[in-house]
Amino acid sequence: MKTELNLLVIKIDMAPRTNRRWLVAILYGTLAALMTLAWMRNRTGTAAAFIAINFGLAANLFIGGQYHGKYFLFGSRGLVDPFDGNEILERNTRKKRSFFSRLFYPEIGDPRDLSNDERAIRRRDYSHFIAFRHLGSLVCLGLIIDFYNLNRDLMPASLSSLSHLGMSVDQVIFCILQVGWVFSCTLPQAILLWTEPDMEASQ
Amino acid sequence: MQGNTSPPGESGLYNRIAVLRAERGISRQALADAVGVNYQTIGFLERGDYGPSLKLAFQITAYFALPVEAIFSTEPFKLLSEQLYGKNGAQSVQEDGQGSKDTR
Repeated sequence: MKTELNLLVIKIDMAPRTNRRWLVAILYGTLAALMTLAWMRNRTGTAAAFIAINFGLAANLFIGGQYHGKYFLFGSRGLVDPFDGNEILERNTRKKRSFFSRLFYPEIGDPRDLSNDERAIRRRDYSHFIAFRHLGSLVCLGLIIDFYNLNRDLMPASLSSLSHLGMSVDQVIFCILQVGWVFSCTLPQAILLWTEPDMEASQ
Repeated sequence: MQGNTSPPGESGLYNRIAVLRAERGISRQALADAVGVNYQTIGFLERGDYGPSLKLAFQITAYFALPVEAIFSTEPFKLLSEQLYGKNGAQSVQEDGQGSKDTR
């Protein structure tokens, strides 16, 4: 994990855990505000879906976890090293590379930005395990809601209309899917940023 | 710091990496490059927040050319002065240190 957030010309010290937690809080806070606004303005959820899809991708600029090649947005990279960094390094050392390999695993910059050591891999696996459980809970919630939606005669009277949310059951499920997409793109990185202790600045 | 070692932290393992590094004037980055890990991992090891794999532990011991029990332990290491001079010697070293402070 990097100790400095490098956004083109702006550099922010992220060695203290507090700063990283602020970053996570600001990112998810912004997402929550934007999606709430989008759902209030557009009841079909199209705007919220647009925000969720793009937010999931754009958040990588800040939190990392994915690799887009050394030229992506002038070399901007997020804090967390690419989760599949070792695999990318291994692919790039092959003499013969297929068209798809070049497309999905573009030219590498500094190999140290990519390589995951044993601790990084252990932490990566831990964060994915925790993220998986949260995503599982979200899927479970969607299943329960959809089950009652499809079996309306079984639905408790209090749930028959989610009027207190101002949303229909379909809208709630669509919203859960949008949140699920964002979490699937960002939650492992966010867990890492949140839980890693204070670090030393680079030497 | 007991016995010039890192506290066990989350790993439950004591180690002398910080002492050995300071003694030999090696930076975290140099040690990290030599054993193929991130320099932050060396920091986490020194603070006892991370317990290394057997492979990494042996790489570190090979780098310092010391046996594994000289660097890692599940028990706190003895004070170096105690190891060199025995318990009484260590006490007298501590008393000398206290005495020299008192005379200031």
